[in-house]
Amino acid sequence: TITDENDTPLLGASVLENGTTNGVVTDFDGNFTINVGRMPAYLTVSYLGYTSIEVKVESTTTPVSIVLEENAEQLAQVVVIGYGEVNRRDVTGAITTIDPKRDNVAVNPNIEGILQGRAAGVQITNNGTEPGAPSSVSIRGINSLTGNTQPLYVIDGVIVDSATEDTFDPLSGGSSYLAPQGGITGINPQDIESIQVLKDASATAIYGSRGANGVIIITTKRGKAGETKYSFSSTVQIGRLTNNIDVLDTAGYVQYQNEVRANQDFDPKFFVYPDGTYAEFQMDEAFMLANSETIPRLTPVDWSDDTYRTAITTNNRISIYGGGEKNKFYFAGGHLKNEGIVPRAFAKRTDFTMNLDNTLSRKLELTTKIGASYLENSASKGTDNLGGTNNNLVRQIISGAPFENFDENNDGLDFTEVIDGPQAWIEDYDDLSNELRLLGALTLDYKISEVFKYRARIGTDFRNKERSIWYGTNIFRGRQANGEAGISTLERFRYNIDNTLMFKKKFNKNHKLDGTVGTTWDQSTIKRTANQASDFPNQDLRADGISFGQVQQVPFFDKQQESIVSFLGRLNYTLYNKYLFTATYRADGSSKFARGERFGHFPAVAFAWKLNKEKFLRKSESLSDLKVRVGWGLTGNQSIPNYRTLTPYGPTQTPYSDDENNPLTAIIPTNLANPDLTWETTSQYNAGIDFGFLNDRFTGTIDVYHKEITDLLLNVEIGPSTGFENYFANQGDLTNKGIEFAINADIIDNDNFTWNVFGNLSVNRNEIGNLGIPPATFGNATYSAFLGRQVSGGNFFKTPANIFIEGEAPALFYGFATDGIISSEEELANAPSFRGNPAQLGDVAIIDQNGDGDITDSDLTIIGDPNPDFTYGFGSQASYKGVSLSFFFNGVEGNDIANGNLLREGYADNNGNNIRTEAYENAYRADNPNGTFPRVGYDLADETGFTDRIVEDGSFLRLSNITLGYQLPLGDNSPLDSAYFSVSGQNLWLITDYSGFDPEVNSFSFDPGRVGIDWNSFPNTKRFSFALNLTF
Amino acid sequence: SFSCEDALDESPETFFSEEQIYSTEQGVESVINGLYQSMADPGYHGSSMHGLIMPISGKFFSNQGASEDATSLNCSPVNTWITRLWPQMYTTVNIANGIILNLENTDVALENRETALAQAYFIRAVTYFDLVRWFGEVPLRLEPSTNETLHVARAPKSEVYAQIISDFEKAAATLPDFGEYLEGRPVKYAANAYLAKVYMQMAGEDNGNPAFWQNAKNEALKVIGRYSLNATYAEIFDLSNENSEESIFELQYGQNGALRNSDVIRFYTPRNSVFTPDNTVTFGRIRPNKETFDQHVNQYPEDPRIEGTFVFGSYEQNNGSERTIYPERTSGNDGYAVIRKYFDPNFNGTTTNRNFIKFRYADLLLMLAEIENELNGPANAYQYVNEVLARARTTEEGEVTEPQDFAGMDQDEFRTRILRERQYELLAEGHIWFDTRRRGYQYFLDEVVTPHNTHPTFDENTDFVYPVSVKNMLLPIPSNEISGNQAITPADQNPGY
Repeated sequence: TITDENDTPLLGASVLENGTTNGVVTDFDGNFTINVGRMPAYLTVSYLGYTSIEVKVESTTTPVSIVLEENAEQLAQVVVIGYGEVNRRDVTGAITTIDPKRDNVAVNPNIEGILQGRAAGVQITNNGTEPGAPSSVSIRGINSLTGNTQPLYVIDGVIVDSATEDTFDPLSGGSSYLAPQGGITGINPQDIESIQVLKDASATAIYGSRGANGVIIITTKRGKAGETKYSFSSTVQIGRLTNNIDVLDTAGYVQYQNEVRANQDFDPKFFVYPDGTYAEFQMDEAFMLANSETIPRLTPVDWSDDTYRTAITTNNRISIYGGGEKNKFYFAGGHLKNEGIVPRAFAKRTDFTMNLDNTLSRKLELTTKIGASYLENSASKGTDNLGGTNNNLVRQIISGAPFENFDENNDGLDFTEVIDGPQAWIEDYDDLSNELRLLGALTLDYKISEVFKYRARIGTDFRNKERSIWYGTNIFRGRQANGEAGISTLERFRYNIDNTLMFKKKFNKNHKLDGTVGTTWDQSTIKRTANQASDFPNQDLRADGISFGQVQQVPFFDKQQESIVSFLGRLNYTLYNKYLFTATYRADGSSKFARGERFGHFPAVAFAWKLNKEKFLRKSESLSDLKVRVGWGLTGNQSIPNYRTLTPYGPTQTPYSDDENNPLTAIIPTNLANPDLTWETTSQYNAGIDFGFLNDRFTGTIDVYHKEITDLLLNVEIGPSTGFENYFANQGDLTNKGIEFAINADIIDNDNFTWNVFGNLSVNRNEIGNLGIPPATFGNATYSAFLGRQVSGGNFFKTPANIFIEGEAPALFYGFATDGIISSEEELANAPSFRGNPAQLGDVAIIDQNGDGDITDSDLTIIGDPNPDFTYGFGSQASYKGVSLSFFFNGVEGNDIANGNLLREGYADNNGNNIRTEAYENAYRADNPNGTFPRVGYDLADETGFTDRIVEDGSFLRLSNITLGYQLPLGDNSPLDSAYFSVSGQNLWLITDYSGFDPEVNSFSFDPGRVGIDWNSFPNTKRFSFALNLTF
Repeated sequence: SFSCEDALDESPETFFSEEQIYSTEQGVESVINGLYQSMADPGYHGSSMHGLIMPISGKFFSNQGASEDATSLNCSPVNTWITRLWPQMYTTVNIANGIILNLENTDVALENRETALAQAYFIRAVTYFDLVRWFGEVPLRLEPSTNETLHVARAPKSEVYAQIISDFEKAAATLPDFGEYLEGRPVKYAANAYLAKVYMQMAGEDNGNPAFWQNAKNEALKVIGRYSLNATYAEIFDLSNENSEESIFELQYGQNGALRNSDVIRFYTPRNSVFTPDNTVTFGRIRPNKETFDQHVNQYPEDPRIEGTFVFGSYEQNNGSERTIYPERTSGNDGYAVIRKYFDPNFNGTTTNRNFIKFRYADLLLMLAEIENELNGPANAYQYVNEVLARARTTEEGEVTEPQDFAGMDQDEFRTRILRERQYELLAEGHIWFDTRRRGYQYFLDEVVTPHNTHPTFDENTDFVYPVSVKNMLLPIPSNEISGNQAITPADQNPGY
C-alpha cells in the first residue's frame, strides 16, 4: 500500500522495478501488486507532488507499506497562492495556472502576450500595436468604472502595482494626450516558471484591498541542484503591415477634390496634364496648357508605402543555472530590440536577473532575487485628443493629401485642420523614453519547529523613467512655438515588508491544519518632475537641448507617498483528505482614506470536496479527479489618486504677473476634498468543478461566479459651478456574473507521439447597479445614468461615446441611430431636419426617435455595446519524435467598436483630407442612388458627432500563433543537452468584419470613461519568427 | 511611538495645506495672486472671452471650425469655449469663496487681511456680474464647494444682483486707495465704477427698474475725477503704457512660463504679418464684421480711432508684400478688417506681456453720459461724452475735426448715439456682447441681427445668417453643468436652446 504522510492512500502512484520497464500503478486504495524478476527487488515509487523513493523488497508475500513525503519544492505540483502555497489538488479557489511554453515566450516580449487567451476569465486588450504599448488586463469583467481596473501583480513576493503609473505629460499645457507606456515591466517572460491567476475572492481576499481586480502571481525560475546548465535562446521576428486601410490613390484623390469644388461651383483644385502629371489649378484650362513648361508639378505619393517598413525584432538571452544541495543559483540576461513598422519606432530592453537559494543552516533558508532591466523606447505619435487629432502619425498617413511636399499638408488655416504630412512627423517629432527598473527581494525562512515556520520578506521595486517630447518646426505645433521640448521624469520606490508565520499540523490521520498569519507594510514614494521649454534658436539638440529654449516653464516637482498596513491570516483545514475548508481574513489600512474610513476588512471562506476520494467513486476506472469548490469573499479597491480627502493648494500653471510683467507666485486649491471616501468593496461568490479522467489525461474546470461591487470609487463628473469638474466619491454598484470553462486533453501521450488540445471559454455579464443619481433625460429616454468622457477635444468626435446606465451593461454607446442614406425624393420628403437645417438627398438618414421632425440631442439613443458576449481561446500541440507543431487561436465575440476614424475616413466631406476609397466611389450621387455612403460634400460628420455608422462589430478569431519546432536528436556524447529550432507565425490569419486596422483595440487605455473606441490606432503586423534554443 | 494611524495620515509634501496658506501674509498674497490668475486664465479672459464672446456678440467673425456654432449665433451647450468659460469662472468664484471664508473666520493677525478680503469680494462680484449677464440665473455659491454642496440650483437674478451689490459695496469700503497697495490692482473707486455698471444694467434691460438709473449716477459720480483719460486714443494700447491713469481694472499678463497664458495675440493678429516677429504663428481669426467696420467709418470717416481700432484695406506681410483685406476684398477671411488693439511685437509664439483692460475711464464717462441722459436728458450729459470725443480727436500730430462733440440732440437721439458711441470707443474690449443685449431684445435685433443680415455684401450661401431668436439674449448653460449638477435639469436650460 502506498499512502501519503496522512495515511491517505495514493491512487495512481507508479511503481517501477529498477533497471527494467516492469511497472504498475496503484489502485484507489493505494494497493499494488507487482511481479518482479528476482528477489530482493528494488522498486522506485513515484507520485506527482511527492518525493520519489527507492525501496528494497525482500519478501514476496509480506505486504509492503510505503509512505511518500510531499515535496513542496516541486513547484509544478504546487500552486503558489498569496502568502503561501498549496498542493494543486487542494486548491479551494478559482485559480488558473499557466506554465509558459518556450515557443510562446520566444515570440512574446511581455507577460500579457503569454496570458492572452490562455486563461478563462482573463481578457487582454492590446492598447496599441506599437513597440512598448501596454495592454490592459481584465479578470472577470470590468470591476470598476473609474480608477484602476488592472489586476495586482506579485512577482516572487514583490508587489508590482504599476500598470497605470507613468510620467506626467510634460506638455500638458495644451490638450495633448500621451499614450501610457509600460504595463508590467521588470520581468522577462523567459524567466517565468509559472503564472497563477487568482480569480475568485476566496483566492484573492488575502490581498484584501488590492485583490478586487484579481491577482497575478508570477514565480520565476530558480536553480536546481546538479550540473551547471547553460541555456541560450535567440529569436528573430520579421513583421509586415497587415490589414491596411484602403484610401484613394492620387488619381482618385484629385478626382474627389475636383468634384468637391465643382459641386460648389468653384474652379478645380488640381489639373491633370495629358501626360498624367498633376499641378495645382490656376486661372483656366487654357492657361494651364499654355504654361505647361513652367507650372510646377506635384509628386504623387502613397503615404502608406512611403512610411511603413518591415519591422525586425531580435531577442537574445542566456541563462545559467545549477548549484549544490545547499546553494542554488539562476542567472539570466538578455537583450531585446523590437522595431515598429514606422521608422524610428522601437522598444529595446536589456535585462538580467539573479535568483539565489541558500540553505544557511538546518533551519534557516535565504532566497534572494535581483532583477534589473533597462528599457528604451521611441514612439511615434499615437492617440491624441487635441483638435482634429491630426497630431498623429497614422492620421497623417491616411488623411494626408497623396502628394509629396504639398503645401496644404502643412499650411492649414485652422490649426485643428493641419496635416503636416507623415515625413514631418517622422523627422521632427520625438517621444523618447528610457527606464531603469530594479526588482529585489530577500526572503528568510526560519523553521521554528515541525509545525511553525516564520518568513520575513522584503520586496523592493524601483523605477526611474524619463520621457522626452520634441516638436520641431516642420510640425505645426512646433512651428507655433519655434520648437517645443518637454522632459518629464518619474522616480518611484516601493517596498513591502511581510512578516508571516506559517504552520502546519496533523492531529491524526484525519485532520490536517495549516495556515498563515502575518502583517505587511507596503509603502510607495513617487517623485515626478516636468520641464517644458519653447522658442529654440538652435534646434539640433532637440529635447536634450531643453536648456536652450528662450521660453522656459517653471519646473514642476511633485512628490507623493502612499502606504498600506495590513494584518492577514489564512486557515486551511482538511478533513479525511476529502473535505477542504479555507478561511482567510485581511484588514487593510490605506493612507488614501481619512481616519475612520481608513480600515477595510476582507474575509473569505471556501469549501472544496474531493468527490473522487469518496468510496462511491473510488471504484471508477476512468475518473481520476473530481472536486467541487464553493467560496465567498470580500475584496477591496483603493486605486484612486492620493490626497483626495484633502484640498491641497498648488501652483497655477502660469504665475500671475505684477505691473512690470514679472512673475508672482499664484496658488489655488487643486481639488474638491471628499473626506467620506472609503473602500470600494467586491463581494464575490464562486462555485467550480475540477475534473480529470484517465489519470488526468483529460482535465477540465468549470467555474461560475457572481460579483457585486459596491461603493464604486468613481471620478464623478460634477457641475463645474463647484469650481471643479470632477471629484472622487463612492457612488454606485456594479455586478459581474459569468461562467468559465477550460479543458485540456492529452489525446495521445507516449514516448514518440504526443497530441494535446486545450481550450477555454468565458462568458461575463456586467451590469450597473444603483448609481445614486436621480433619473434624467438622455436622448429619448430617462435613466439614472452618467456619460463618459468627451472623446476628442477637436472638431471630430467631440462628444462622449459611452453612457453608464443603471441596470445596463456599462459603457454602452450613445449617439444617433441611422438608416442608410436619404436616396429618394420620397425619403427626402419624410426626412427630419438636422438641428433646424433641412436634409438633402445623399445625407445620412438619422432616425428621428421622438418624431418631432428635427434631429436634436433628444434623438440620441443607445447604438452599441462594447462588452463582448464571450471570449475564448483554443490550441493544440502535437509532436512526433523531435518534430512539433502547435497553434493557438483566440477570439472575442459580440462586442461593438466605435471606430472614430471613420468620421474622417468615411465621409467625402468638403475638406482636403484623403478618405477611404469606398467612401468616395460608393458615395450617393444622382447617378448612383444606391450608394451606401453620403454624397460628396456632406459636411455633417463633425456636427452629428457619433452615429451608428461608425459602430462596427468587433468580433474576431485570430490565429495568434503557429509554430513548427524541431528538437535535434543528440547523441550521448554531444556537447549539447538540447537543441531546438522553430519557425512560427504570429497573427497570420484574422477573421473579422471590423474595417479598422485591428479589432483588438482600445485607444484610451486605463480610461474607463472612454471605452471600446478606436481613435487613431496603429496598424497591426503579421510576424514570422525564427527561434533557436540551446542547452548545454 | 509608532502608530498605524499616524503613519497613514496623508500630508502632501509638494503642496500646501489650507492652514499653511492662510496663516501667513505671504500665503494670503499667493492665493490672491491665484485668484487674479484664475480670472486671467485662458478659460476666462485669456481665450474664451475672445474666442466665444466676440463672435457670439454678433459684431465679429471667427473662422474657427470648432466653434462655428457660436460664430453663427447657434451656440451649442457643448461648444468648445463655453465648456471652458463657465468652469473657469466658477473656479474663480470658488477661490474667492475660500479666501472669504478663511479670512472672515481667522484669529490669526494678518496685516493684509482686509485688503485681501476686499479683493476677494471685488473679484467675486466682477465674476458673478459677468455670469448673471451672460447666463441669466446662475447657481449662487458663496462658500467653498464641498461634497455636501455639489448640487445647487440656479438663483433668481435679483438674488445674484443683491449679492453682487453687497460684495462691491464691501470692496468699495475696504479696497485700498491709489498708492496704498500694488500697482496694477483695483482701488476702491473701481468698485464704485462697477456698482454704476451694475445699476445701469438693472435699470436698462427688459423688465429693468428705471429707479436704478439714479443709483448708477450716484456711484459713477464717485469715480469722476479719480481717473483721467490718456492723452491720445492710440496710447491706450501702447504696450509701454499699461496700467495707465485711465485704467480702472486691468488683468496683468507677463511672459512667464512656456504655457500659453492668453490667446489674444494669436486671435487678432493676422497670419504672416509684420505685427509679430517672423517666426511666430498667429491666426488672425477674430475679425470685426463688415457692418461693424462700416458703421464706424460711416459715422466718422476721419475719426483717428478708426486707425487705432482697425487695420483695413491691406497690411504688410513678413515677406514684404501687401495683403489686401476688407474693404478692398469682401470674401473669405480677408473679407474682414483686422483689430489692431492686441498686437505684440515681442510675442514669442507662446506668451505675451499684453494686459487685458477690463474697465477703463472712458467707459465710465460714456456710462455717465448715458445715465444722465436717461435721468434728465442730454443737457448735462454732453460734458461726459464730449470729454471722450475730445480725446479721440487728439493725435500726436495735433487735433483733428472728427469725431465732433455731441450737441443739439433730443433724449432719444442721444440714447441711440451714445450706445453706438460705446462701440466706436470700446470695440473688441469685451463690452459689446453686454452693450448689444442690455437695452432689450428689440434693441439687439435692430443693432445686431438686422444690420448683419442686410449688409450690402451679405451672401446667404457663404455668410452666416443670424437667427432671429431670443436665445441669443443669453448663452446656454453648458452641458457639463446640466449633467453634473442634479439641481439643474435640461428643462432649466435658457430659452431657445
